[in-house]
Amino acid sequence: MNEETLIGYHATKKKNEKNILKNGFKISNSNSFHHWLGNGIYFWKDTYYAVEWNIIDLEKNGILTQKNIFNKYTILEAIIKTEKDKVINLSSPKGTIMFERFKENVINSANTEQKERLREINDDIFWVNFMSQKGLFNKYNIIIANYNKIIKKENNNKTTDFIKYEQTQICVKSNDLIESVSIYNDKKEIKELYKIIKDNRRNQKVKEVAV
Amino acid sequence: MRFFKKILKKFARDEYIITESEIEKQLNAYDEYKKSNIEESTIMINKNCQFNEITNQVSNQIYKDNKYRVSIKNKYNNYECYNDYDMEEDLWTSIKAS
Repeated sequence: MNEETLIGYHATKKKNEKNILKNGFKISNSNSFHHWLGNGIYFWKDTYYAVEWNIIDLEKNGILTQKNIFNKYTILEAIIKTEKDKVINLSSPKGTIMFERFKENVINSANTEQKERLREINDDIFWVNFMSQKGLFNKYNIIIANYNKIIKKENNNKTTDFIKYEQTQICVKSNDLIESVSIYNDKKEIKELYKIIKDNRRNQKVKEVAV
Repeated sequence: MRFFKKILKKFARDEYIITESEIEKQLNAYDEYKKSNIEESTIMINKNCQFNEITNQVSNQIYKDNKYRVSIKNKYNNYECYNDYDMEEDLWTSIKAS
């Protein structure tokens, strides 16, 4: 079968749950760098980051409690299907080749002053967003990218003690590719992740880097 | 694979023409994004710290390679919110004062 099935987790406020289950996801429609894989519906590959996303939002609003994780926020599990050819993982060798070719192309087309400014950019978001705007992803239904999140333990500066957390984001271009959506109801796992993430965020320095 | 091959062919044939004005537009949009991101980071630092009953004391500041490192410790002295970013001097002062 030339088909790819992915499972993605979408974190959102509880008040949006009913509408999503009934009418599908809202497609983000923006060229901003916040939607760096282009327009679409964004999912995490791991429940860890979906729980973390909700924790961050609760923190921002100053109402972080375990109870609120269940009462005010939700995690939706989606089964996503499409043709294999229509999936591009930017962190795969194919994705990297596309990325490098594009970068080379831009640098060659830039003037001297722009080349200088481009050299200072060490953020993949700039390049991926540019690729998206130039239509390189138009033929694809699903764009995937991995970040490596580095969590450094307190009082430990040895590089060998860094732990890498792979953070995979999935951008789905249309609701038609989503075969089913359900509420992720593994409360035991969410409670466990809540404790781990809270602990990580409290006791460790977290720095996110794109690799 | 078919789309990937097509994209590579397009690169080989110079079909992805990028103009200087497109690059300029993208560079300017990125600058704007970075500015707004700094503001968001600042808010995150302050809000997280307040949430964790942090004294809001800036305990450490390092300026190196055009970047500031901001460290804020809580009353238990075991937590630091920190971030590295390019920042204008006046913005840094406003954080210190907050």
